Amino acid sequence: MRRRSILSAFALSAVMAASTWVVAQAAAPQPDAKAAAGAAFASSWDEFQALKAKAKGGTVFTPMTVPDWSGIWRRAGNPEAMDASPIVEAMTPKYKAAYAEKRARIAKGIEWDRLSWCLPMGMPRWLADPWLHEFIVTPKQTWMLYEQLQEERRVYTDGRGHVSDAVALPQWEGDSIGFWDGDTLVIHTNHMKAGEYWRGAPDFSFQVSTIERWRRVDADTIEAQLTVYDPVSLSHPVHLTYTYHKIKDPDVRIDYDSCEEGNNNFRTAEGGTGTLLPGEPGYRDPTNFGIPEVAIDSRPK
Amino acid sequence: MSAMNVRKADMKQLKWLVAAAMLASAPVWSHHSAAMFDMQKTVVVSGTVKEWQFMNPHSWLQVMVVDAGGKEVQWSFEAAAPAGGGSSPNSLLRKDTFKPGDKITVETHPMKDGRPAGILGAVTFADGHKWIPRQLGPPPGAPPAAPPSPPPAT
Repeated sequence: MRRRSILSAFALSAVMAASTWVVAQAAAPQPDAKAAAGAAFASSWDEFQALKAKAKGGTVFTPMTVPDWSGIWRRAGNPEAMDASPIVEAMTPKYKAAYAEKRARIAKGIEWDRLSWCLPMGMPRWLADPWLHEFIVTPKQTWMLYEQLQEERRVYTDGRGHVSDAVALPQWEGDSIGFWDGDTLVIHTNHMKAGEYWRGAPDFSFQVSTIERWRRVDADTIEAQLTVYDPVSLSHPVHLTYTYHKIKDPDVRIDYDSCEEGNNNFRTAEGGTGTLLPGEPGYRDPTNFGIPEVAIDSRPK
Repeated sequence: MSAMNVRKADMKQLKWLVAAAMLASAPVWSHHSAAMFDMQKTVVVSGTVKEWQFMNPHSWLQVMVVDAGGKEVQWSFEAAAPAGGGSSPNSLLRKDTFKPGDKITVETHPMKDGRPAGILGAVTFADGHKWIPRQLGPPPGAPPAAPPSPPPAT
């Protein structure tokens, strides 16, 4: 009887927590892609230039007037539960077919995420996953810090242009420049690596570029609106919205996130996810990996 | 707690276990797919904590279990990491959440391949108190999410 009452309480608390999560997801739907995504522009750069012209070149801040985005922020919800339909609707046949194949493999339990190699998420997945974010805002640069593998982005708002095509290489986070339109930080990013929007989501190509509009909506909420252009994987731009909540616990820090030392995942022969267990060949003891043998017994209990 | 054992959840408890454990474990975010775990199956494992490895990218709870044949087997249960806010002293996962020697019963979605491992679900300690995995959702105290703003006209 006691066992059953415990289980009942467990189930109830889980349902309550899950309900909260569902509400948060439902309150952040993806706007209509065609209407929202600046389909009138041939490229993200054209749209970015139009936005900048409309903002009369952008708002100039001083260190005293720059928007306050201090704190630690985290996106609510499981990205695997996000609605991919606005992306799927816009996808080109080749990428739509690849996505269908990916979902079929996942349905069979075969799934691999490059994060399991301890590789970065990169842009624009940077916006989706619920690790911790922090923003260091200054008049001429905004540093967008991220807990997962310290994937930091630097957004230059000093008027400079992108890195020259002659020397630019695809980067996990791309190359970002921006301007302020009042309290909204508008960012243009290019030179990204191909990837997926979030785990299990559609893929995009090396030709992807994005426009972001970041704004602190209220004391506890920051919102990012993302417009994705990719002439290879998308027939028209796609618009997605991400909401971040402030973590109020002052003891939460963005610490160094070392993935390698505790990672025993591997890609299976069929392309799925495997993990090594203690005692198996190649298993990496996460507690002492990389620690001098002489110092192992000095670890704090 | 009775002698350490491994058993499938009986039918009486199954409906609760499946509903609760699926909800409890599925949203916990990780750096890999959960495809290697059988999310449709829940087993209950009792044993003694050998080591609590509280670290990134995942924490693991190592538990020594005596199987039906009397052989001692090490079970490995994967949990969330300090990253993602888990480093907070107020989070549900702490470096002292589990201690070597703790007698515990774990509800888990096991590995599909039958090896002794799974996702760390609810844990019951010898004194009857229970630890339940955290959910991914708005941080504690966060207001309900506001509807997103419409994109600016350009």
